[in-house]
Amino acid sequence: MLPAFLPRQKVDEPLGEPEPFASLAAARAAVTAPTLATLQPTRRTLDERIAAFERVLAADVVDLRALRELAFDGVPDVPGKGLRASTWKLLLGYLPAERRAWATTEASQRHLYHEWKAELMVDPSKRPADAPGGAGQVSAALVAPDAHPLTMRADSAWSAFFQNEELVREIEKDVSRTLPDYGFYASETACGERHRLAILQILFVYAKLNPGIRYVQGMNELLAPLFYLLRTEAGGTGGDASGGGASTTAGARGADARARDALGGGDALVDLLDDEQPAHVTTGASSGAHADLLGLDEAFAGLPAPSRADERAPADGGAPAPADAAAPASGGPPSATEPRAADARGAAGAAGAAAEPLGARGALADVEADAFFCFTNLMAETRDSFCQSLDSTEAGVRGTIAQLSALLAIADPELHAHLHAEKVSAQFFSFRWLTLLLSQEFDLPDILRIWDSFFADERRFRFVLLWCLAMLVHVREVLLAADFAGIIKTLQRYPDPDVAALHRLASRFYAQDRAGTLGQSVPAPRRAAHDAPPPPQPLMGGLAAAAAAMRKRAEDVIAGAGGSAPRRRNGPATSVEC
Amino acid sequence: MVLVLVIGDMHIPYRSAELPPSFMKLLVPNKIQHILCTGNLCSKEMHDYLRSLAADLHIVKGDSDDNARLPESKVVPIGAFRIGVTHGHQVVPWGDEDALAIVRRQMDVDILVSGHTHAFKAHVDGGKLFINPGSATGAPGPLAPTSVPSFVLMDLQGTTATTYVYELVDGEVGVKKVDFVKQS
Repeated sequence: MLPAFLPRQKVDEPLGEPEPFASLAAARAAVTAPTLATLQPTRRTLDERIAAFERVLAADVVDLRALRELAFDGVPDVPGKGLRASTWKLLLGYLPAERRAWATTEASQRHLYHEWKAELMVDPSKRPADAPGGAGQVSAALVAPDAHPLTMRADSAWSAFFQNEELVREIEKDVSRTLPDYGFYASETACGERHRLAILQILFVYAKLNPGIRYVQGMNELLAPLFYLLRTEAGGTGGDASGGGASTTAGARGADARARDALGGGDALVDLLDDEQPAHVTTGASSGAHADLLGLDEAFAGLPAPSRADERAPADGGAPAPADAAAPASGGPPSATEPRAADARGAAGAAGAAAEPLGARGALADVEADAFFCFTNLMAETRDSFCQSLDSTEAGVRGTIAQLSALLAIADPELHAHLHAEKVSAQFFSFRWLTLLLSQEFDLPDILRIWDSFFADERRFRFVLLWCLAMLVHVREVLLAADFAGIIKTLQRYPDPDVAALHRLASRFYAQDRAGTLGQSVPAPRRAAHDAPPPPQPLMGGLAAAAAAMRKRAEDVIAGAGGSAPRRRNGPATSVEC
Repeated sequence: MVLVLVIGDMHIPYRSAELPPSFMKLLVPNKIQHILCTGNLCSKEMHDYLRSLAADLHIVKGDSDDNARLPESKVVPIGAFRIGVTHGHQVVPWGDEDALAIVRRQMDVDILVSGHTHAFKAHVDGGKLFINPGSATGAPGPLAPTSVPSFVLMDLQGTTATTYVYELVDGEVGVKKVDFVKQS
């Protein structure tokens, strides 16, 4: 649809710098004591939340209701545990609730995807290897009338190939513009190229398997965060398998790696520098996890093996089974003769001089398959907005937009009347919001957080509508003062991405919507933002915002509906990077 | 996968009126990436037609071409292959394998494309491929008063070149295939 506008500097904020508080305890201490006291009964600490998630996910049969309730308030971003990846897979219906069936489901689905892929990607020139004669006259064999590139038969392999080529070209145009500010999808790096290729192939297979929808611009924007999350948390289920015993330091190092991965943009450069000077990183485990996450193993393969092995030695001694992103790839404890690196980097590292480590590639292929099925399930619920012939029906996107308009009329009649007077139709701004689940309006870390709630919504995707409503009401004062141009400009480039405040407002609307009391209280959205003391940096989702959110939460009418969860844990090793 | 059209010796309008309609039906845009033309087109209209099939067009000068700006021969690297193109009237005896082998060595190419004889021929000599696409219109040639209309399409993939030959025999387009693997 429209190219993402994601300013570089914003991207840094949620994850980049060390949080202003050294720990959550400090953050809570900053919140005034009486508020805290009132919060205690309903508010859980991050550790408690993580424990709750682990408890729910570790059950033999996962309680999806409980998981929904937890996930609605955000999934804690704990590196190495892959809580969010597991949660999304469950909520999107990719994994069954029975934990025992996970491994077989994943294995069979992955196999299925790769079979489809091989079948759909026709290569007409693949032929039996009949070696041509060495010298002299080569015999020209007569070919069937449809076995040449210029064939006009529509059912031939070559025709299928040219049709596929057309589709690939169409998808590629959009894939190359998908989250271009993030290193994860940057064309400058090898891993970025691989990630692009992966989402290209997912979209291609989806388009071929769903000829009714085929490919529509915007699907790439839905897939990109999904694939990103599954890829960066690829070690999730593996972490569980190894007992979830990631030591705190290992986890923190993973956080560091992930943080920088998420930062994107110029980080490709940073990554390359790191990879050239491994001594700069404190331990090998850190750089190993980092490289696996980024898929930069080739860069490592070029390094002298002994130095890497030496670096890893202390880490190995400290943690008997370092759980990192490569964990699923590692096959048991390595023998003493193997280089130590194998230990930290799994099978990927064992190859050593191999140009393309098999482990990393295998992991990427698995993630690609997982992402494909999650995307398919997501599309099963949202594809009506992508279907042009449904546009004007109730199920199509215009019906959804009309619902939003109706909600606004109930919740904030004054704003609705103003928009109407200025002739601002809801589809001018909300078309993109609703079809792409707001993935164009916020930065990637925020999208992940918002989607937690969207996926956890049992009346999927009612909450998206109410979130959009919250976005309108949140800036109502700006909108009420603006004319047509001002309104459109404000809503197309949303000015105040205060996700915590938006979520509070949206949650309140959600509860009211469910109770049927929407519009019975006067919205006063901006109060929260003004009450909170200005944080050291204008963090939009960091701990400062979370602290403010916690305080505000006490005043919220809904018990249990949440503010923004802190994005990640602070650990001692987070500030390794300069 | 790269598709390369090898075509030439149309002699339009002097010896032939037009490309066979059944050829023109097959040749559609957006399939072919490169065109190597052995010359003797001999009109601007033909040049424009080829340009409409693919943007990357390489033409050498035939003995009947007026356009003095066309080169006598040209080397076009495509993928793993270095491909030499020359019309072939300079190579005597015309179409002689040994004479062409000398030209190929001079140009230092993996595949030598030449025309002029108005007869399709593909042969391998010393591990190198020689292709003569014949005349696309079947115009009378220097060696015979009639000829079979033909052109060639090469599918280059890695070090493999698959050559498809399209010949118009008795109003029917027949397709033959020649496989060639580049020796390293």
